[in-house]
Amino acid sequence: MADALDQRGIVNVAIAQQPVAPALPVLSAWTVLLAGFVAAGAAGTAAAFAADYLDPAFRTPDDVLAYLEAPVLASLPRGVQGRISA
Amino acid sequence: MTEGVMGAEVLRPTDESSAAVRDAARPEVERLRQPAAWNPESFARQQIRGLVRQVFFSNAARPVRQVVCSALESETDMRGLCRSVGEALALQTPATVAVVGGYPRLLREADPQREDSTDRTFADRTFKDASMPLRQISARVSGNLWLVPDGENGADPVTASSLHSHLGEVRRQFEYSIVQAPPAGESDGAAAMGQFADGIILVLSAHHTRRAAARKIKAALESAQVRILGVVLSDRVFPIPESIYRRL
Repeated sequence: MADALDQRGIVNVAIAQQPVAPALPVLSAWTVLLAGFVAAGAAGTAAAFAADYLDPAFRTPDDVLAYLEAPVLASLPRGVQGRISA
Repeated sequence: MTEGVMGAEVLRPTDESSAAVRDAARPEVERLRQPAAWNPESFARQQIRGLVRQVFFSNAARPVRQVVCSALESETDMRGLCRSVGEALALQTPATVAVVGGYPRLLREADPQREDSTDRTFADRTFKDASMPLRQISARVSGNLWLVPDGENGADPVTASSLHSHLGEVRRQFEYSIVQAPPAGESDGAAAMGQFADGIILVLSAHHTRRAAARKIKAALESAQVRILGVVLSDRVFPIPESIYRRL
């Protein structure tokens, strides 16, 4: 009989039990929050490294030393050059 | 009892007096314990003094008397930097120090009473009479610090030989000189000056000068046999707030 139903394209399924929404989520809210923080931290760190890697300008004396292999004699903060007097 | 011991006994403070001395000294001790507030100007001055020591007073095989400073970016305040280096150097040596470049603003700055029309006459005299001693056309701003106009003549084209001639004259008349050169990335003037001077200091602008451009200019200077003394990284920003930085 099952073969005959299959041949005619009639669904041969019976609902054993009506589906119900679970009362509790699989992961707790704290777990989801923690996973969100971890993912955001990882993404932020990756973005910072990417920005650092892709930035073509010098920022620190270590940058200068690494890329130019020349000694850094001084590093001066922005906006003070007109106001320095020995 | 010997006299020395007696003396020690006389000088030994009583408990009350020592407590008073402790109380009086406490604010000073507390002040010294606390980390000093970071001051950009004093930090910059310290850096400039370090530069002067490294460049002019190191025990290098070739002593440095004449230095060319050149930025890679035209926006960098080279006049202020050269002047600061000259002032720091002049404080550390009794020898004559010349800061060359930035004419005619340097002369006007050195003598604010001078009117523009007088300045023009002064400039004309400077350029027309090449035999005039440099000190007569320079401004003395302190005991041994002089501001010297650059060798450019508005009428004649600047050539390597004219630059060398001017730098040679500066070298003859001043024991130390700091020469402001045009931006190294924009003309060959810096290389021409650097060949004649004892070396060149490159000034990079943080967050602005590109690494590839700096590397290319450094290679060009080296191929022109210019001695690169070092690099100054200017316009740095320190994004960490001071209160946090002090705890790090």
